Amino acid sequence: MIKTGIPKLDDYLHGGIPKGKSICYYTQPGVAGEVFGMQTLISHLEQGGKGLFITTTIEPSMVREEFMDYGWDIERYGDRFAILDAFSGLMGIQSDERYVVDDPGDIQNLNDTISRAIDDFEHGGVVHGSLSQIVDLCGENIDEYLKEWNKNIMLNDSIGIYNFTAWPYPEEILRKIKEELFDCVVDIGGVGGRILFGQYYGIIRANWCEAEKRYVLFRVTKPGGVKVYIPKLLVTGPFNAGKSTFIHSLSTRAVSVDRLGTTVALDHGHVDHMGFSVDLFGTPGQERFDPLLKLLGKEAYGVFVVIDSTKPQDFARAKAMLELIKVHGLPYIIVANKQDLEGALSEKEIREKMQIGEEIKILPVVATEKKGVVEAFETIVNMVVGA
Amino acid sequence: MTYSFGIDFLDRQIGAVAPRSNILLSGPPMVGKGVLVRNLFYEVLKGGGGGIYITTKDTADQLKDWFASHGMDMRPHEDRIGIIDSISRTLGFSTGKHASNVVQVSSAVDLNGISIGLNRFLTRFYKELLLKETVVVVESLSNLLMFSNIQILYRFLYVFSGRIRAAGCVGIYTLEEGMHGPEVLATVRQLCQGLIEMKQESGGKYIRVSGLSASNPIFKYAIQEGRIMEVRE
Repeated sequence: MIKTGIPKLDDYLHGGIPKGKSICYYTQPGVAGEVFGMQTLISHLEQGGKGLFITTTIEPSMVREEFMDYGWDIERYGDRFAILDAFSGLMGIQSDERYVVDDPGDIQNLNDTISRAIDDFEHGGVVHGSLSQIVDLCGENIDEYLKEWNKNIMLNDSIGIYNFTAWPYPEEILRKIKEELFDCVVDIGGVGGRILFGQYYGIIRANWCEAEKRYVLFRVTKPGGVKVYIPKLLVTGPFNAGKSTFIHSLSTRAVSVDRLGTTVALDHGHVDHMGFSVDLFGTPGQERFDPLLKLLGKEAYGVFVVIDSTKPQDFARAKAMLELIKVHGLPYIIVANKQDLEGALSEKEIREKMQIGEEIKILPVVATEKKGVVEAFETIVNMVVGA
Repeated sequence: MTYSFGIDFLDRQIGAVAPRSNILLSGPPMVGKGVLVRNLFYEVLKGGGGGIYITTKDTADQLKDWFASHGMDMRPHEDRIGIIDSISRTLGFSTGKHASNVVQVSSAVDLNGISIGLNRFLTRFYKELLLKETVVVVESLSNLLMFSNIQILYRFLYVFSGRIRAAGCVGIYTLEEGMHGPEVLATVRQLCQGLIEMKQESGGKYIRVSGLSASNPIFKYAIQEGRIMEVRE
């Protein structure tokens, strides 16, 4: 078993990647996913194995710089590490690497060199820096070559590691990548609304174990590589809308700092659901706490705006809070609490009173009875990860 | 929230550009496409907005020098500038060290590197600096097409222009007329809300704008010291 070195991923894969298997890091465009292949290779080298990096989009010196930027000195592995250069040929420049593809656009030329290198790197880790670039260069019918490479990986007791950027290719290609061509596929995506401000990964499939279907939010640090961290969701809304009750009803554990029955400092809760492990932070509703909202907004991934459905007189305040949140470009939903009380307005009535469009989601909730709270959580998480 | 070019006749006729717009700027070489996008870039910065410049022609240093030599002082705006330089490494100019507001990608082949750079700057501008508007310039698509075919470029632009719209920015892309077949212009055009054409004819240089206002105005212009100026006839 080869450890990927990616925090939590080895646990979810029941120890790592068995020899002879292939893993595809399936990454949304614009998300820094290439570090997964690099970190997995370094982990393999650290475990005494050999490592081959196939570059098709960046020059070999930049590959080495990238490893160094992450704090991984690849030179120390000597001959156990090599680069297969399928980039310089594209730019018409000379290359001194051990393996060089003269014409990377010629799949036969590429295949001959890759196959030879895979055979030389028995018991090794073979990283395709950008499988999508091979698809772009050589056309969309590369299934047979991929199968051949993976067969050789299996025969050589190596592991195949592929970084794939999921540009909007035809559906059939994306389906094959996700479902057929690899032993394991890990989805890597961006988190955010108006802008991407975070990243997540989760296992789509692994054929050697019952992999845990969890999503993990991570940051990429230089040096360091992939680091897992716990995200924050913010719970805000006008005074006495039921924010603390909402947090307590959603959380597996929660604390509030109260005085005379209202929150005067932060509420804090924690929820594990849908494979996400999330911290909830509640802010007091009074205007004097708005600076706190600004401060927390910088660290949050999404926002629940809790309103009391029976108090339309507070909707203007809720809307002002929405404006504060919008500045941060965060995804948000409106939690229409206290739906069980007499005089509670419907979603349609709230929308009219607040003068907001259909694009803003309003979830009916009775926090005291835990009704609708899970649905509200699932809605915002799906918005955050772009599901 | 709108974006102005800082060019009187354009701003007067178009009434400034709405956010979430992608604009194709097409014209033959040497007609002043770079000058026009740089005028817009500078105006947005001067107005307190952010600017992200994807350069495939000049290095980041050459770009900064151009602004400086044409009296457009970028120093007060340094923290609101992001330059994605896809040429320094290709030309072998890179020393590996560069300013924090510059991202160097290996070459124009590395389209994902460009996308990652864009997201990095957008996150910084909107999440940390809380900017309200950002213009994103790609100069030029033609150089990207030297390394990728139109199908690859379309996939990239489909994602890239979508991100520009989602973020509420304005994106402007230059394309060299005459270097590509009509299918290239048609393909890129369908991802854009507006088209600006710059033309050199016997009587002078003209700008024609489509899709950005109710009318499709045409202007005669000249370039003076890095600025586009209207020529009244």
